Amino acid sequence: MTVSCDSVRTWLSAWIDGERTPLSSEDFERHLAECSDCAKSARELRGFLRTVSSAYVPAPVPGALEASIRKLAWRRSFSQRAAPLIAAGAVAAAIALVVFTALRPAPVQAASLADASAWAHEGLAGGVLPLDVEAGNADELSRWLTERVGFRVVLPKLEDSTLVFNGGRLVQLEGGSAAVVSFQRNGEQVSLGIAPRHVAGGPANAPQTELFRNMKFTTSTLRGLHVISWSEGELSYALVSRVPATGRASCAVCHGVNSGLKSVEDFHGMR
Amino acid sequence: MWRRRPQPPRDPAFDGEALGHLAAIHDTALRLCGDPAEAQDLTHDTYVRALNAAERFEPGTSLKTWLLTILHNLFRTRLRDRGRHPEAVLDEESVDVPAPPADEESWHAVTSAQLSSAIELLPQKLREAVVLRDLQGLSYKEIAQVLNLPVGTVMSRLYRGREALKALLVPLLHGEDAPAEKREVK
Repeated sequence: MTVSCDSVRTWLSAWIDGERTPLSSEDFERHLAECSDCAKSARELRGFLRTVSSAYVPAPVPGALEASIRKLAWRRSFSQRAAPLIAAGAVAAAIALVVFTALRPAPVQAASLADASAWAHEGLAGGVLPLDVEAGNADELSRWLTERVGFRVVLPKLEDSTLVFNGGRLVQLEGGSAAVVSFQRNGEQVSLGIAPRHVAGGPANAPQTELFRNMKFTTSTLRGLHVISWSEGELSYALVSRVPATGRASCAVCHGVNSGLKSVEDFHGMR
Repeated sequence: MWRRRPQPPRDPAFDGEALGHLAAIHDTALRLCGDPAEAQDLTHDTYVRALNAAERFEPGTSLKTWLLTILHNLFRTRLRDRGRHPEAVLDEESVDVPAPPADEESWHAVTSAQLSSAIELLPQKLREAVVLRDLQGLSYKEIAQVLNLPVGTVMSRLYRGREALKALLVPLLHGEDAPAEKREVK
């Protein structure tokens, strides 16, 4: 028994489009073989769809649009390909940071300016503690430090050819900040710590004191380094180096020729 | 704290395959909105969205259908943003298409330009169905996904759209010029 024309017409488009219908292909084929009207409808629809399909020409894609989208895809693809490399770089940087942190001297809130200066000197000289500022000019370095430590830093000009500024670093004492100025004298690393007198404290390691023109100079050995400490006005100083902490050589670190400070020859001549 | 959402690795063939559908997406955009500049915007935005959301595409399904779904959603959003309700713009109920008096042989003479003109004159809802099926070759189920409609509605629109298209093509086949202005098919 064949299906009705209404039923075939209802599902004809879907069947020709290859979709599933409630009627089987055998139902359609049997009906179309027997019904000329439905067969004509089927031929017309097939012809129409073939025509639409063959007459269809997609609009050309504008070159700028295609270029823009290809660029977009390339960027996305590149960022995805680069992501593992970026992640690996980040891991390497993190490892380097951990290693660097482990190797550098432990950050201190030293009890005294002498201790803090010795710690900073050790790190700076060993290359594991970076300078906060690199400056070869006394005025520039004085200004940079003054803006950050809360007291006025005045450095000697150090126009002596044997003295070279490296730069400066800030360190923390229990009572406030200190500036550490890094020099080289005849290739020897020297650090000068400067802090307000009331926070500077005193070295705990068997200091020796010496009075010179009403100023008390304290010498001590910290971490194998020679430290000379003194105070003048509102500020205290700690000079750290491997240079012997006695005699004119130590004073000459700052009071060199053309330093703007009193000549070291005058000190020792007055003594 | 802002944190970037981790993305699963993308199928390396995705971009290439997506770009392979560019002509189809652009052509559909042009037939949806009828304006070349807006069609370019729609196509570009479709690819921006698709490439940014590539990890959401389900492998094994049709990428072309997925791209067309994004395109259609963007188009409807634009209509809404302009204060034009999509359903009002895409009104189908006013369309009543008489059976076209054309014999099966006459369809062979249809040109590409005539087809484009006739499709442009179709009501939006019917045009979507005809374009997605007869130009882009989507299945009824895929069209239903793109248009977010039941398959039965897709079938109805497709039937009516084809009848309307025939009615629009007949005068063109008889040598009449394409209407200068867009007219409603009644």
